[in-house]
Amino acid sequence: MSRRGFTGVKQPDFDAMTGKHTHAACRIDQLAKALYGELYRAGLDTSPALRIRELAQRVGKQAGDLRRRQTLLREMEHQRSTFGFSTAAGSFVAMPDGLESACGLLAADAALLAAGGDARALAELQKYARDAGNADFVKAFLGRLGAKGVTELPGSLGAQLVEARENGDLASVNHLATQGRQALTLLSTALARGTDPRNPAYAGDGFLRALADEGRAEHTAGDVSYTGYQAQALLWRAHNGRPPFSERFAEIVGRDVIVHEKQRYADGWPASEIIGLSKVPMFDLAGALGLGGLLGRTAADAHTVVDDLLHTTRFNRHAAHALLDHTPAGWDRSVLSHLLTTRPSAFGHTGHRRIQQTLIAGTTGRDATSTRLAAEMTKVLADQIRGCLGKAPDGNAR
Amino acid sequence: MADLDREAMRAVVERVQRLSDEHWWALDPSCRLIAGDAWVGPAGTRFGADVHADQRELRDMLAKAVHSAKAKLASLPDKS
Repeated sequence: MSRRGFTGVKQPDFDAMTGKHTHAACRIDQLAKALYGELYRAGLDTSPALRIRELAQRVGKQAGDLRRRQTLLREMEHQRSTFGFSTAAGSFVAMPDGLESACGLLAADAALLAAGGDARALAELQKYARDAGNADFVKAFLGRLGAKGVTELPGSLGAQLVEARENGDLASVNHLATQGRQALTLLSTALARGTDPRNPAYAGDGFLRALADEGRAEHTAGDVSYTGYQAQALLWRAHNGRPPFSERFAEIVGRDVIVHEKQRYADGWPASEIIGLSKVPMFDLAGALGLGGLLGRTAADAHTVVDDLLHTTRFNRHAAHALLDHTPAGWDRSVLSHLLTTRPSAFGHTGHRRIQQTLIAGTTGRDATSTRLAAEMTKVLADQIRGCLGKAPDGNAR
Repeated sequence: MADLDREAMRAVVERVQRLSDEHWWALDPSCRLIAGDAWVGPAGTRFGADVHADQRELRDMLAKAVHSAKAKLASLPDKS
């Protein structure tokens, strides 16, 4: 084999085998029925017929796998995702050994095409919704897509929606919104699995760091320029909590989002030519482009990148801890304290629901970290209201 | 049902033998194509092993059915 994890298929023999095996499954099934009748009527032991019936089912399943692989092979050839190699045994077309890996590559190629504006490829992504739970699929999918592809699919969908809306093309807007949401859900589920070290689909710390790098980088799609995190935030927001984003994700990406926003906030936003991107705080791409709920699973309210991040930590206490119970290098306070003191005015743009949910996830457990965070939260809040609720000179509360 | 006479049982043996003959080679094309490297690599190798095992089992079961029918025929008293 020329590459590990790859399988070689020789044509037209593979197609012939698929056809023959499908035919064999059907014949053996009929044999089982006929033989059972003969044996039963003659008062003989029917177990050979019963064993042959089970065999027919196995052969039927093998034939189904062969047909599925054949279909994938055709699609891969269509998308030019295959490569050939030759050995003494003949010329082969290579494809991933596992069917799910092959699906993952195909889905990633469709996602890359969809990011390039291919509507058919976007529609095709729906086929893979059920595969997002399979580790081999997720590994191949994220591996081919890369952190850049993960970032740019939501970015491009946002830009395509803006363009369709500006052109008054309502059919395209509806199409992009519906299929875009499904694509984001698929990608979001894959991302939650692929960034969890406890999940067999884990893509490694390097992938998480690449997500952070792409998150900070500037990207363009059509006329739209955006910061990577604004696009990734649409994936976090599309998440349904099953499985939750991991603690490791919160450590590498989550903490960086908070630090990045504070840096942007402190420096002032760089002059931006794009109206809507020049606001504090950093809105996610749907918010920045005024897409309302078109790409989100929730209602039309605007979200900031930090709101969307806090959506990922509300499902997992350990992730909430990893984010809140951390003091970034060079900071004089924890992320929890920052969110409660420096940032509240930013939450004022979009409401406090997200921070509340993450605070509940992070402070209501019976473990030591939850207890400590709860105490820290109480102290921060007490410090904040001390100014309002001081003692009057007569000793009574003001 | 089990009390067939020799004539009827002889017909059963013939029909079971015919089913066996007709299906003896049912998996042979798949076995030959996989042996001819239609599909190489780990999954292909597993498939090849499975298909050969399937073919052995199919033939074992067909032989068993024919054998049991013949044995029953031999056990029936000759009326003539």
